[in-house]
Amino acid sequence: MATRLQFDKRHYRSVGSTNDIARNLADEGCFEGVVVTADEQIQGRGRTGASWSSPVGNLYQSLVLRPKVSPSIAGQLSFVTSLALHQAITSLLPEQDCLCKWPNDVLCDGAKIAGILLESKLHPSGSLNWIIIGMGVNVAHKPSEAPYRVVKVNELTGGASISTDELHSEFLRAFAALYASWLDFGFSGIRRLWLERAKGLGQPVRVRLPKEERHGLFGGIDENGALVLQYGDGTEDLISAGAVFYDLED
Amino acid sequence: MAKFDVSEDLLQKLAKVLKEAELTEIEYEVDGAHIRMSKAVEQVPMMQAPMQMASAPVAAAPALPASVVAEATNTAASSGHTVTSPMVGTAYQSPDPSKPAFIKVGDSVKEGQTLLIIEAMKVMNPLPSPVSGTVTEIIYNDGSPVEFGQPLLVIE
Repeated sequence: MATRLQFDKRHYRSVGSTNDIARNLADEGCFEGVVVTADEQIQGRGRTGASWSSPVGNLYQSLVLRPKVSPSIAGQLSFVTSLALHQAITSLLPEQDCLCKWPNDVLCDGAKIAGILLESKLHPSGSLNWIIIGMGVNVAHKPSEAPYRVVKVNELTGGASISTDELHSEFLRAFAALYASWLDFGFSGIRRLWLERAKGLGQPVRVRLPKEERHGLFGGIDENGALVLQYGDGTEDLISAGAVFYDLED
Repeated sequence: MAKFDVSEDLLQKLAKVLKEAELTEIEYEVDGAHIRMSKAVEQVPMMQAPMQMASAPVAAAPALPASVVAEATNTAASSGHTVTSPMVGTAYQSPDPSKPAFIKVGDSVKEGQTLLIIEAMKVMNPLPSPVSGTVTEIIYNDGSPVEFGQPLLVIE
C-alpha cells in the first residue's frame, strides 16, 4: 500500500506564482507533499499562458508530487485533483449543486469556481521526475471579466465566510485519500467517482481544439481520462486536450 | 493485475536479437503485455501497452526510454535518434501560442533541453531531449494529437 502523503506547507505573502516557487523546490529535490501557498500572486497563469487574476482573499496553492508511475498516466491526476476540490467544497457547503467538468474544472451552480493546471517534469530518460498541481480557487473574489460564468465560494455560503485555510485543509485531506486510492487501486475507482459527478453526460458539447471545434455528445471518459466525443453516425473521438462548452446553456 | 516491466535491458536484448538474426520484426509477449519491434525503414516502431496499464499506476510500465527505442529500431534507417511520444496527447512547439518554438530544424540541443510540450488532460508535459545533437527533422504538426510511441522528431 502507498504511504499516506505527508504535507509540508510553505506559505508566502506575495509571489510571482506558487508554481514558480514549487518548481524551484522540486528541481532542488524536495520531497513529495511540499505544498506552496500564497496570499496573492503577481503573475498567476492558466492554460496556454492566460493570466489568472490572483488578489488577496483567494486560495493559491501548488503541490509537488513524485508518483512512481509512467508519464503516460499522469493526466489521471487531473481527475484526482478536481474530485478532491469537489469533495472539499461540498463538505463545507453540503447544499451546493457542484459538478465536475472535463478534465479538471469544478462548477458550482454551473459556474467555474477554480482553475487547476498541472505541470510535469520528465527525466531525459523519459521517466517522471515530478508533477506539480497548481490550483487557484475563487474564495473572496472572482474575475470581473471572464469568457465563461464564474462564481466565488463566499457567495454560496448564505452570508457566512469560509477562509482559504479552511478550504485548503479540506482539499488536502480529500486529496491525500484519493491519491492513495489512485496509487493503490488505479484509475477505475477515480473514474467512476468522477463520472458520478460529471456535468452533462450524454448531452451536446462543443470541444475547442487548437485548430478546430468539434460538436458531439459527451460520452464520458475512457480508461485513461480522455474525453469520449460521440457523433451522430455512431463514430467517436477521444480528446486529450481542449476546452469543453455545454451547448445548451452557453 | 498484469505487470508490464519494460526495462532498458529487455529492449536492448530484443534489439540485439533483431539485428543478429537479421530479422525485420520481432514480437515479445509476457503477462498480457506486448511489444513489437521492427526495423523496416517505412515502419514506425510501436510499443503496445496493455489496457490494464491505465488502471494500475503502481504496476505501470516505467517510462519508455525513447533513445533506446530509437537505437534499437533505426539501425536500417539512419544514425539519428527518433524521439517518440511517451503519451497520448496534443503536441505544441512553444510554451504558449505567443511564444517562439522551443526548437527548429538545424538547432543544436543538449540532453535535457525542452523539445516540445505534450498536453494531456490539462497536464503540461515538457519533453526533454534524450540526447545532445542536432535536430534534423520535426515530424509532428503544432497543436495536433499524438499517439503513444509516435515519432516526433529526429536528433543526430
